[in-house]
Amino acid sequence: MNLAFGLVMFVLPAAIIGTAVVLALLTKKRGG
Amino acid sequence: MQEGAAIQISADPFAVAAFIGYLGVIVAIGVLSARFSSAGVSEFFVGGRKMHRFVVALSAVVSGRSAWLLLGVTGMAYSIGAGAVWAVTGYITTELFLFLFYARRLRHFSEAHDCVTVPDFYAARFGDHDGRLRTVLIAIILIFMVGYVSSQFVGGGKAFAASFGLHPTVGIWLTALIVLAYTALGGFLAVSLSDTLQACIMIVALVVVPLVAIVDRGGLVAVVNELQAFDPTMIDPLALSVGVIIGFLGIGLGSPGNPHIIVRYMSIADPDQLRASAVVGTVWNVVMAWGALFIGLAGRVYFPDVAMLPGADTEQLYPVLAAQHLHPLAFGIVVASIFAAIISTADSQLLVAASSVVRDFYEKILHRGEQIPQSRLVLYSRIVVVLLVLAALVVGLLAEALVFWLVLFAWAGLGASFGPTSILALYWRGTTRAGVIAGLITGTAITFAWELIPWFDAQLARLGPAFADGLYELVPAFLGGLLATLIVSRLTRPPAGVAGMFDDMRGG
Repeated sequence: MNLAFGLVMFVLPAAIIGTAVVLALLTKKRGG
Repeated sequence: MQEGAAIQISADPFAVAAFIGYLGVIVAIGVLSARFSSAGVSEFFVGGRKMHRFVVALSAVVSGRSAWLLLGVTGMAYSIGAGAVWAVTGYITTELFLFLFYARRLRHFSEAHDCVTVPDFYAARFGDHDGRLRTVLIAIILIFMVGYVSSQFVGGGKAFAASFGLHPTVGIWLTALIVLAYTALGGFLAVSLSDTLQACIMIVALVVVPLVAIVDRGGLVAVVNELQAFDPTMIDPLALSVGVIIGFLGIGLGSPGNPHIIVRYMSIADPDQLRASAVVGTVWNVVMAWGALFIGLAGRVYFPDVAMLPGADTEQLYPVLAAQHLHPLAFGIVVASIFAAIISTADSQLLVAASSVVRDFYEKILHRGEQIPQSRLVLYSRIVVVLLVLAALVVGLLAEALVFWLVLFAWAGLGASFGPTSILALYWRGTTRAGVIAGLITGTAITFAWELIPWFDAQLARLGPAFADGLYELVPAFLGGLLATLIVSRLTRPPAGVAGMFDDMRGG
């Protein structure tokens, strides 16, 4: 399977969701 | 394949039952919400700021996604392949940051200053005592929203026509009546609860349809191999010009500027819960968007030639593919998901337009400083919802062929005017009322100019092949609105008490 295709169709959506989870946790810590 | 035959569901009792059941639940939500929403304008237009994090997450996400996602993005992925991914990446990433940062400041400030509408926020932030700023905001909302709502009605009418064999005009009337029934009765609560249900229907349909289609074709690897053999650019996400990729990503610039999305952030009961809304909203956005992309890609394998689709229309791919692969009951839910996308956007837009007339114009400009009974304001709000539905119907029926381009145009106009000004209002203490008025007018003017005057795209094309396909008007209009706000704010004096306002945004 084409690498760029694999990246945008599978890694990118996972990365966006992962970023949402990490940022949500980080902002919680900052807010105390 | 006969035109329209594949998506004709009127003959199948299972599909019709599923669809009518869905409509019945939506209207019931309106009836049950009517009592709560009758308490006052805060309840009618912002749900009394008592919305649950899950409801806010899903309502904000689906209010921004019209039939463009289900029919437009699927069709786009069918036509251009994996490059369509850039059209969804921009807005999903932007909305993640809006939930986490922008929304929290806006929500804190809104409560401290009793803001019910987005213009309320601007007026409180910039001490708009003479109503000049509010008037500009109302004008921009009405200019774009009526056309925006009418395009949803026309979309619903066409879906009715294709699904039930009705005349499109009858379909447009039916769509308008359904939206009118629960929006006028149940206000913000009905709109938010129905949006939540519709988000669930949409995500189920957008997961099931591509999954079944891909499995039926021998699995993902087989589908990708077939695509590659058919046309290698179908699986190359970079097989687009730079201008097109920038324009696709730039769609995300519209999210902070569309008041029917922003007002959702103002409605959450507890601002700290916006973190959870960010995760839920992002998961929903991602799953729905990638579901739509996979439908487009799988669809190309099933229908290599666009002439195989009814009317050679790529926007017919989603219902056609679903009709081929699903039980009639599940297909009824797929048809419901198209209406869900259309109706969940139209209802939110309708309520924002009505709030700008009743709350912003009637209460805050025409009768400024007067005490008006809440019951009268709610009654007027319901009447205005009816009048706006009629106005949108007139536009939709008179200019049926024209209204589709209005979706991306209105998204651009609102995004370019409200987007940069609201971000600066929340994050830059030096922002002034004059700067915001300049930004609002500049963003709107560039949107119109770029769309209507081909000269701009022609000049851009001279820069090289990267911009040969032009640029979505939102990108230059947003930058113009941002620059105008910055420059004019620098030349004028910020309102008094800015430090206190920024404390209010932090919830201090």
